[in-house]
Order: sequence, then structure tokens, then C-alpha cells
Amino acid sequence: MDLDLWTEKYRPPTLGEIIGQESIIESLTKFVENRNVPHCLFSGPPGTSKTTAAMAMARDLFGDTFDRNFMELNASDERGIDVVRNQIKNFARTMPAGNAPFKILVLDEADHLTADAQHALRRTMESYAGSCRMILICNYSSRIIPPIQSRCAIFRFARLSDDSMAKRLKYIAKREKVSVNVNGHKAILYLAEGDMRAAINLLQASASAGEKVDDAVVYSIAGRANPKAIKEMLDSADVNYEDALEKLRVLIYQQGVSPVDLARQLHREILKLDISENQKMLILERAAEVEFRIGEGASGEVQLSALLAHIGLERGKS
Amino acid sequence: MNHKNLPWPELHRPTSLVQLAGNVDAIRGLKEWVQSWIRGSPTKRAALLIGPPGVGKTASVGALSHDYDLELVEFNSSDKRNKGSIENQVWKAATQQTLDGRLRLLLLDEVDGLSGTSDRGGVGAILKIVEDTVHPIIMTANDPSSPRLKDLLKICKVFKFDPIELNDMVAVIREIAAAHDSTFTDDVLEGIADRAGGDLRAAISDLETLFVSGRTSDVGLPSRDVRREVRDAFGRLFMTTDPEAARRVVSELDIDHNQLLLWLEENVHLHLTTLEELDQGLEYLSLADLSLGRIWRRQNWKLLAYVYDFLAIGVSASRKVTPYRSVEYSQPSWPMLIWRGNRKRDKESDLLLKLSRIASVSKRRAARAYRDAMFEMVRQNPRLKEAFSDWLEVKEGFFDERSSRH
Repeated sequence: MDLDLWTEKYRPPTLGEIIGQESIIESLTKFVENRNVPHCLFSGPPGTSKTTAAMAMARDLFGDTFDRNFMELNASDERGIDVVRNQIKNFARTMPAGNAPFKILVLDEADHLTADAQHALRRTMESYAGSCRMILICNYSSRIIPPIQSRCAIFRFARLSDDSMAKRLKYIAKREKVSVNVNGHKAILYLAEGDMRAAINLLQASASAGEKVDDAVVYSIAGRANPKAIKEMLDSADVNYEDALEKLRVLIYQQGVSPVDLARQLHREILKLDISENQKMLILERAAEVEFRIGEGASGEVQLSALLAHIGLERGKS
Repeated sequence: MNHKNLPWPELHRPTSLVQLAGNVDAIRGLKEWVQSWIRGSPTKRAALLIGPPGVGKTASVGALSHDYDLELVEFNSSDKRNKGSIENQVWKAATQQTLDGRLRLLLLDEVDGLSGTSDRGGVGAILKIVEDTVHPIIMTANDPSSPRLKDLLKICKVFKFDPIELNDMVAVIREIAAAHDSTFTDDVLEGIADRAGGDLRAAISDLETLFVSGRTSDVGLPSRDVRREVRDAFGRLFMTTDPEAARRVVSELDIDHNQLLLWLEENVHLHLTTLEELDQGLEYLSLADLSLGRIWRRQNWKLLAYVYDFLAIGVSASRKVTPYRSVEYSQPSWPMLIWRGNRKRDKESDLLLKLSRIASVSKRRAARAYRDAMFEMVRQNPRLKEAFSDWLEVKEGFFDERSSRH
């Protein structure tokens, strides 16, 4: 078995192959056709093709001269004000290679640049706009200082829909000759919550366990409980506490789900319970406290059983 | 590289004062100030232009130098601007005559962007130069409350630049669109201008985006005006009774949890008008705040999901009696505090980096083993403050803020 990371192996090299984000991709494609790209700010949650889109656009634009005209600085690099004043400025002010109209510099996780560094960036963006265009990538554009936002075309990437993610996952599974059944797909989508990177990683991890991937494999690889099991546990909380506790113990000790992850999943299911909004919020208050206590070193089993008892109380009222 | 290839905000940068949009009074005042220099009798030797991004501060300086035939020399934050380099380069430019005897116009761009650590002593050096200069100096800044401006405000003639009016913006971008042989309807142009929130550069950039991507409508263009975005989102948040919808609204909002908390704190009372509603709503705000505190203390980011639930569902579901109505939301009055908090974290991170280099340990260990010990020493013996702050090149006040919290 090869050791490729599927997230890299199946990173779409061109704009045309990117799934979802249709209107953004359409604009970027037009940028490439017109060979003119403004400074851009890509914001959005993780795993929504921001970096992929930036690289694909540069590749479409530059072709063979991609390596010489493209630079990416990501969060692992040191990125104080000196990097902006030296490294970035040097890259930005030299002429593009070949017949490229300009170079492209991608600043991944730009919201982690210090405020000082962002200030130093703003004039560089204007002074060397002729030779270099920047693409800033971040989770929240509000963490980028206003003068930089003012210099950029802003694109907001939304979480990917389950449909478009499923399509891509099926494609990858087929190429890798992994068979994933319907429940396996559902499980991956449930756990990935719109994050394509997480979904592909989970698919690869699940596939490494065997050629057949179903929901049981996915949940056990992810170290999570099947939402069905959680729901059953919640359903018995108000009628039969012993039964609920038994189910909790099976999840923790037999299936090896960590109490913290379990608390998170409970959190998701609580919102779906058929009780009033007020009751839900009262339970959530407890849940937050329980997670905090577990983080402080309290016993997961004791804390979660206390939470189950409280859920039982609230459900019993309605 | 050719001229045509420039991004539109650069391509259409005004060259003469008559091309500038808006801020008529500030620009007239600026002209008079430069004329007083030309006559040789300026009342103040430096001018400070304060205003939000994209309203023509830097552009008006370029236009001034063109209209009055002044030699323009620019220093901005992409250059190192500590005490030494300002004393050296800027001082030379400010005190020496030009070759042809013209006046020189010095532009110190973005003075609120002077870095606290690597531009140390920068403001002091500028003050000195303003005293000695024989040429007009203009500085620009965004944030009137920046502590770096405190001393500069005293010695400069201050000109306030306001966001550009909608009509002025529309006129400018219509002209630019025409220059590129493209026609957008008035609705689209107004849409662009409206979303830009008074930032003309952003409006021009958005116009270019639409033009280049071949779209004829401004639908889908993101709003640049946070207030407007929050207004729309809060409207939906307080209208809905469905928790899933409330969560979705908040997760689609492009501001982070700290800012969201501030916005809600500033505005919840508009929707929660009875005592019970207020009590419950603010209790959820407080719980969200508590969770954020716990996240910071322990880096336990798992709790973040609850923060969003408390803020989205908790607060919006607290409205039980008061009917939904549409209201004007106001901007939080203390994001400055948060901003300062961030700056302090940056500073603290700088300090830890220095410590970790000196002691060759990780930053985390530097925090535990050295920083805390140092603060304790300073607390016991305040006279050590000066020695430590010189050694680590931080302001003495840095130690005050910390020790007062203990």
C-alpha cells in the first residue's frame, strides 16, 4: 500500500475540478481567462477548498512557469513583521518569470499574521501590485485588519454540502478501489461536518483498516460512537437509568470512545431531542460544565452519568 | 508587466486634487496648509490625516505633490521604521534642500502601524524631525485612538477624513466603468457602493472583480460593511424560534466568537425588554464568556461549540414575550479593548520568543520558568522594572499591567 496522503493526491490541480463553491470558481476562472487577478481574500471554515482554489488558479494561470511565479507561506513558517519586510517584499518586487503577467503569493492562515505584520503588508500590496498579486487565506475575514480588506476582493467559502462531498468521496473510493457502503458514506459525512479535508482523511484511515468500509468501521476509526447508539442511550435516560448507564459503559469501555468525544456527540444529539428550547439550553449548560470538568481531570464516566441523569430529569418533565 | 495590468484601484489612483471624491473640507484645509508652506509661514510643520481605509488619504498626498509640483518622498510600514532608520533616512530627507530648490513633501504613511517592538522609538524620532524639518511632512493613520498617535496629535495639524458618500462613490465607479467600456446598471453600481461602506478603494476593487469575472449583477458580492452584515444576521437570529436556524445564522456570520459576544452584549437589550428576558439572555452571554475564559486558560477548544450555542440559541431563545421588531443595532463600544488585548498577546509572544532564545528553551517553558518568575521579582522589587524592560526591549508599562492583575 502506498503512503500518499489522499488529501494531497486528490487535491484538484485545476479550477475546473473543484467541487462546490460554484460562483467563486466561476469568478476565478474568469480571472484566469482575462489573465488579471486582483488581490484576494479567501475566508471560510477549514476544508472548504480555499488553498486548493488559490493553487489551482495559479496553476491554470502560469502553466509551466508555476514553480517560479508562485510562493506559498503557511502557518508553519515564522511570520512576524520581518518576514513581511524581507521575504515577502523580495518576492513581490522581482519581475515575474516567463510571460506570466505577475506572480502570485499565497498567505495561508493570514489571520495568524501579527497585527504589525499585517500593517507592514498593506503598502507592499499596492507598491508591487504590478509584479505580484496576493491571496490571503483565513477562517474569519474579520481578523484581517480593515486596510488590508479594503485592498482585496473578498470571497467567502461556505461549508460544502453533503451531496457534493459524497460525489467526490465516491470518486476517490472508486479510484482507490475501496468499497464504501451507503451507511459508511453517511457516517463520514456526519463526522466531517462539511470539511472535505476531514472527510478524505477519514476515508483513507477507514480504508486502511480493510477494503470494505461501513459505518461501524468509520465510527471505530474515528473513535466516535454511532449516533444511533447515542440516541438510544438518551431515550432510556428518563425511563430506565440503569439501562442508560449500561449503554454509556459499553460506549466508553467496549467501543473505546473517549468521554470528551462522547460529550461532544451528546451535545449534537441534545439539540435534536423533542423537548422545549429552554430545556435544551438547561441541558447544554450542564453539558458544557461536564466537558469542562472532564478537561480538568474529572472522571468521564461519573460526569457523563451525571449528565444522563439530568437529561432524564428534563425529559421526564415533558 | 504593463501599465494596463495594474489592479483598478492603482490604475485609477487620482493624480490631481480635482479628481478626488468627497472630504471637501479636509482637502481644502490641506491645500491651504501646503500653500502656507509655499509662502514660507506654516503654523504647524506636520499634518496628520486620520480616517478609515480607502477614503483618499494617501491619494490626496500624491495629488498635492502633483498639483503643487513638490518632490514626494514616501516612507511606509513596509520599510523598517525604528529610531535609527527614521533618524537616518527621514531626517536627511526632512532637513536637506532638494537639488532644484523645490519643496519636498514627506509622506509617513500608516503611522499607527509603527510596530511596538521592531520599530521601537519610532514616534520619538518622528517628533524630533517635525521640530527640525524644512519641508512639509504629512502622516496618515486609520485609528484615531491608537496610543502611538497621542504625541503626534499635539504637534500636527489634524485633518479628519470621513467615509465617502454613496453618491460620490457611484459617480467615481461609473466613470471608471465607462473608461473600461463596460456598462453596469445604476442599481448594480449603487449596490457595489453600498456594500463597500464608504471605502472607495474597495468599491473600485469590487467593480473590477465583477467586470473581470464577467458578471452583470452585484448579487453574491460579499458585504464589506461589518455593521450591515451583523444587522442582517441579528435580524434573522432574533426572528427565528428554530435553534438549528439560529445556529446556522451565527455560523455563517463572518465575525469570530469574541466579536460576536461584544455585538450581542451591546445589543441584546433591544430585543429582550422584560426583566426576565434580560436576566436569562445575559446569563447565557455570561456563560459563553465563562466558556471562552476556560478555553483561554486551558486551551480546551472543545468548549467552543458551547460558546456558539449559548450565544446563538441561548440568547435568541430568551426572547419570549417581547414581539420581534426590527431595530438599529449599534457597534460595540469596546472592541478597542479586545484589540489592545490582542496587541498585548502579540507583545507577550514577542517577549516569550526573546526569553526562549536567550535561555534556549521552548516558549512554553519560558512562560512558566522565566516570565512568571520575572513578574514576581518585579512585584517584590519594582526598581527592577527598568533593568528588565531594557534588557528585553519592552516598555516598562508592560510589567505594570501584568503585576497589577495579580
